[in-house]
Amino acid sequence: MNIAKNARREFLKNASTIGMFCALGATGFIQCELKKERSYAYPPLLGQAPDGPVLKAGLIGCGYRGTGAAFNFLNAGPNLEITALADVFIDKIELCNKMLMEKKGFEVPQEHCFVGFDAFEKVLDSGVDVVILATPPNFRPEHLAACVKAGKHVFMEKPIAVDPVGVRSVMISGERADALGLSIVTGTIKRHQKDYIETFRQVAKGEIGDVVSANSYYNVGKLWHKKPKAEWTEMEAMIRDWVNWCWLSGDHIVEQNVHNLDTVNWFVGKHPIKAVGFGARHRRLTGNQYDMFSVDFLYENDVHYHNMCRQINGCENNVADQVRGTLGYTNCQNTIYNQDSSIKWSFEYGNDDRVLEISPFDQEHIDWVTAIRTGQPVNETQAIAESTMTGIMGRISAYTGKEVTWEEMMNSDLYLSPKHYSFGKVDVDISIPVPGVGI
Amino acid sequence: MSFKSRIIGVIVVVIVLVWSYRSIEKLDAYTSGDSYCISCHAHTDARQSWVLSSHYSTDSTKRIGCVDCHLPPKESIDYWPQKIKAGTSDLYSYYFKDHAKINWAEKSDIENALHFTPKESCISCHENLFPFSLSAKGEKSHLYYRSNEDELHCINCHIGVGHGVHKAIHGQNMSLLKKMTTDSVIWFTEANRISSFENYKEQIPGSDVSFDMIAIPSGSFQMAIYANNKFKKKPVSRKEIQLSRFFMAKVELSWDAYLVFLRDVESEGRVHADEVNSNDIDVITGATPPWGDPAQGWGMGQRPAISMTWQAAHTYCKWLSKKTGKTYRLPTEAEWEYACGTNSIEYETVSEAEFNSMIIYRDNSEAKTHLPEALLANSRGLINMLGNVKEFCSNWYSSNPFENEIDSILFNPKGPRNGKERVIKGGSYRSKQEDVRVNYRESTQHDNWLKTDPQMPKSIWWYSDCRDVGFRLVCEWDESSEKQ
Repeated sequence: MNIAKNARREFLKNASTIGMFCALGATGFIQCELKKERSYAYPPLLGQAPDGPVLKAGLIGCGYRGTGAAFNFLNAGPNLEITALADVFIDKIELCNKMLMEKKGFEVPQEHCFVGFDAFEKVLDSGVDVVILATPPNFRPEHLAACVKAGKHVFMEKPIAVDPVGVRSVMISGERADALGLSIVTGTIKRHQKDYIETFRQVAKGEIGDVVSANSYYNVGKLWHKKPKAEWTEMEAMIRDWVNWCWLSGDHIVEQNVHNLDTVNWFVGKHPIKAVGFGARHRRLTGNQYDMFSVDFLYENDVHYHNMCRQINGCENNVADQVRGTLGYTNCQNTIYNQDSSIKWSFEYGNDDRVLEISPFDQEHIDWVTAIRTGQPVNETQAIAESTMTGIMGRISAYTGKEVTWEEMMNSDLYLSPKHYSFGKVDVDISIPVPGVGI
Repeated sequence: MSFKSRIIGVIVVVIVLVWSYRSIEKLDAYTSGDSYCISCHAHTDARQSWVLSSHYSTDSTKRIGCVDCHLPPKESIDYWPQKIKAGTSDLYSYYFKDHAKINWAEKSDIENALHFTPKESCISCHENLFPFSLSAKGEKSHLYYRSNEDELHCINCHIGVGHGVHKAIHGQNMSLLKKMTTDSVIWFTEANRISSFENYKEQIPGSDVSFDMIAIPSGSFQMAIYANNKFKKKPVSRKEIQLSRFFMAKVELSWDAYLVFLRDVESEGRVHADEVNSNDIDVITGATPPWGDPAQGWGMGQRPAISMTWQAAHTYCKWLSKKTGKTYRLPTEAEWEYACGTNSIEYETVSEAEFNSMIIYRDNSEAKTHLPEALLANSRGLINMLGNVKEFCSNWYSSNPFENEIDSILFNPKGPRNGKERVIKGGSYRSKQEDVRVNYRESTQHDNWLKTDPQMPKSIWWYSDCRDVGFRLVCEWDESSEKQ
């Protein structure tokens, strides 16, 4: 395991420093600085974030997930406020405010509700301390860059981009956030679930040996779609139907399936180096996405990871991961199996329903606020950027029928969004990809 | 021991410890000062070039001194071991080495600089690789570095920031491809025609460039392959080689001659390797501009062209053949050895003066290529076979190319049918004296020589990290042209 090895190397480095320090004794040749390694494999998972001065949050993207994230943030601890809202549609803001009033007894005043493609800038200028980014992912790179430049801590929903240009921009913003000491937590929720984390701890200890292969499934029914209305411009129709348009969502292999890609990348300890995949579209009513993907990802040392995902009603559904090692395997969630399928270890939930005490959606905000208030910044940007890129690599392979490498992704100039956002015609490629050649 | 004397003992020990700590601290500060380094660093140019560099005139008031870059940072556990090692070796060379003979230019080569410029020192100051002021190109390059951190050192790209005003060209160097407009030059309209097997002067149509081709008679010789270039030991295999006659260029292909090709086929776009490999001669197109300055700032003209890939050299031959109606190609390894002549010079058999008058190698090169005309030719009339730059051969590389050869005599052998890397022969301006030998052989190192190329796909035309390999043309002799 990479992570285990790194931890070991760090330990050895520190140990040898200590050894040398002792050997030299009081001469103090060396300013022995035991750097506190900021590993975020194991967040503290408190039941509630510690108290502190009021943190004012701006919510950018007020759809259901954004509104949900706002509630998760408010649930995370004392002295947390939502003070600004932004969306491209006023009805989304109104609905969000209505729910805030119903459930939390307050609403964001009109002067702090901003509508339009530039609303995010106004939120950043409105005196917020932290920002929640929950728009469709194509907007994320630009929004994140602005947040980091403004020195704001960020919670951002997954995925974080739809194309390689976007992912690289996010990687750079992540580096800058590190330099500024900002905390960035992402919506890759399994990394904040105690059962997954304890299972990962077992794997990091070497309980399944070296990883030899992995596979995962995100086979579910269709999400939703919105048919265009006569009074909508093309831009409005697309954004309201965003989970069906590749330039807005990255296709579901990225948008939804990124959870699984992230889990496997996390457990394997790196990202894949190439992908060969295929996919198809049979049932979708709008947009230009596929309904299904099947991708063979390849990690270094010839470790294959098969990933499939489907969004069609009335088919066999399953959302699961499996990572196999030389000594056994795991479902990543709560169990380590021996090679003969007997259970070697399983996570103790402490209740019969096998559920975590704290909702993981709240937990990620608790972890975020804890990091901010304890002055121990965390930054999950690189991990989600790599997982998003993994999905994009698989998608492009399926769309083109070709092998796609990580190196190509890191150098690709593919950019899907229109150059300028405005309500009207949308200048993007909306063809449905067809791989290969016909007869 | 009484209590009192114990107390005194402890106090004495503490005083001694504090004293030695303070003196070591002072000694460290003294021996880390710039003036201390320069006092015995016989490198005449080091101080001046450092003062001219961006690390002396920094944006802040802090000046970066010798040890800031040439030793690990103080908090590193490597600081003291490295300081003691560097100090000892400097003292040794100060007292026991002839400074006049130290090749300073070579020491500032990237390959050498890597050994005495710890990366962690760069990073201890330049913590932030992504300042908001960074250009888009810089962002892309630093992200490339981030994903290749184990293989790359900051100075792979930023060589020259510590000494001198040299600034690396970052980006594609389009200036090379500008057409020259000189009124007075004579433009050749056609290639030279040859009707007999004699030395001739080739002229590239549509340019003012010409070069000499030497007629090499047919003959035979013994070719020996040594394991790992260890010549004192028994060769791993040996074969009698017979060769037909051929022409070989008197000098390594010059920049002048290479630029004609670049300007003729240049393209700013990308052409994939499989397209170039096609047999269709018309697809000789698409040479991309080089990344940075392939001539290393040494000048072009008659100096041998370097930094091109084997693929590019091969394409050059195809292009020239088309231009001239002859058959140009890279030499085979056997032809190359044969052309060195029967009296091939080796450092043990000739005087140093003679050696120096015929070969550009490490001790006389000042770490760069030289113009060929000042040198004496070998017995065949060829210049710089063994030195100046290493030369591509057409063969695939194998550590024992005769392994599958059953015959005891080989006619015009072309080497293994397939392989991964190509053979390169001869020494270069960087070679040690003992490596300047006829049967010294190496292979190309494709991946390693493209280490700092941040493009994807990486260039098929230019190696970003190879500065001492060029090529020499061979022209086939068409026996039928003599009969006519």
